[in-house]
Amino acid sequence: MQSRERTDRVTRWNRRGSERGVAGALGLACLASTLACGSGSAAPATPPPGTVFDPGGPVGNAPVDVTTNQDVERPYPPLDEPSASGKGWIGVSVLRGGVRFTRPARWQLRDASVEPGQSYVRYLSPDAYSFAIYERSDSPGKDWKDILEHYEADVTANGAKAIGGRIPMATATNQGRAYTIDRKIESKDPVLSRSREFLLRGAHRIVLVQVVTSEESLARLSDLLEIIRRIEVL
Amino acid sequence: MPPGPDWRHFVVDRPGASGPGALEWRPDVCARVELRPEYHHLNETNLVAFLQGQGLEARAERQPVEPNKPELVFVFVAAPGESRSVALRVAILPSADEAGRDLYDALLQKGPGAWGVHRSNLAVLGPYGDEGDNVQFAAKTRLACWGTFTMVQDGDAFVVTGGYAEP
Repeated sequence: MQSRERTDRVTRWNRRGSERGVAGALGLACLASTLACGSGSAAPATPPPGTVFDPGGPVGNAPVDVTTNQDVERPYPPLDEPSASGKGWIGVSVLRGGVRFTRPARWQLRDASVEPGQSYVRYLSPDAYSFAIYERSDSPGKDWKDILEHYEADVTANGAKAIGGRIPMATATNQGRAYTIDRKIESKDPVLSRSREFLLRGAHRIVLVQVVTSEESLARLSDLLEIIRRIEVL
Repeated sequence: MPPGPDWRHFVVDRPGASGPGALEWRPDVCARVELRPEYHHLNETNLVAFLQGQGLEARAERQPVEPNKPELVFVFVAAPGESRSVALRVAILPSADEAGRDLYDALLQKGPGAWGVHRSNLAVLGPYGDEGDNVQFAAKTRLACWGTFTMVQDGDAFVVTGGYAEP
């Protein structure tokens, strides 16, 4: 039932505006990325077979009902910015209080998990991109080299390809590394999905921020840099 | 590198943080510079024009490279108040991802004291200096506002926030 409601919401989303179908492809990209991002560890060599209750195969953590679960996202008023870009941005706290950031109010919360160590939250933007934050299992005390190798192994294990990566970057409060990832989304009509991904190191956790778009570059996503810049990983 | 005794005039530590990853450019460093991300393909003339636009003398000298290597240009620039110019190695890469990655690899290979900036497909490696020298030079030339400033300390690369950045 919950799954059907979610599907209905996404379907309604797909019908909006001139970007029809793009959000659907982004949703597929997000589903495909769950293995890479949510589990925080390389997939086993011979994963157990999926059952009829596993929509994408052996995906680990089940999403929660984002319409009723207050733990998915909580308001964080100190980061509210009603006038940013003239559109209204809201401060929120996600991943059980581990990450705070400012997001456009018009984003749609798509799905999430609050499972400790594997929590994530995913949004859809009406500007035809998806935005997700995944908790990684790495200790924040690890060397970057180990964190990056673990992440890159996950990417490869899931059939994706890093076409650029390990690029130093920083938010206002965290050091990070940026990647460009290509993923082939298996579906009736296979889609090549491209994402920009950022590993961010906080004092207590490592997270992966993933932006999936059908655009060739991020040039049109004018809000994105500002959103990334304001993420605070605790 | 010219000495940078006043480098603390250009950066602050984020509240409650310390160490190289805590540095942030003071708002006035890049206040008058356009920080919008660059998505065009660039060559060394973009950097030279930027430096000259800051009132600095800058000139480029192309270097011969092996056929399979990206183009390399030396750009010579003197910081304000300095008589001696500094040689910046500018690599012209096919993409922004490659520029960011190649600079990162070079910085880790060169070790402590290495620093550089990258903007779109250009990666710029500066000469060795200590933390203060590098920060002051990047601030006074406004290089920190032209490209993402990254330096090596404690065996790792750190970005100083508040300057130019690309998503």
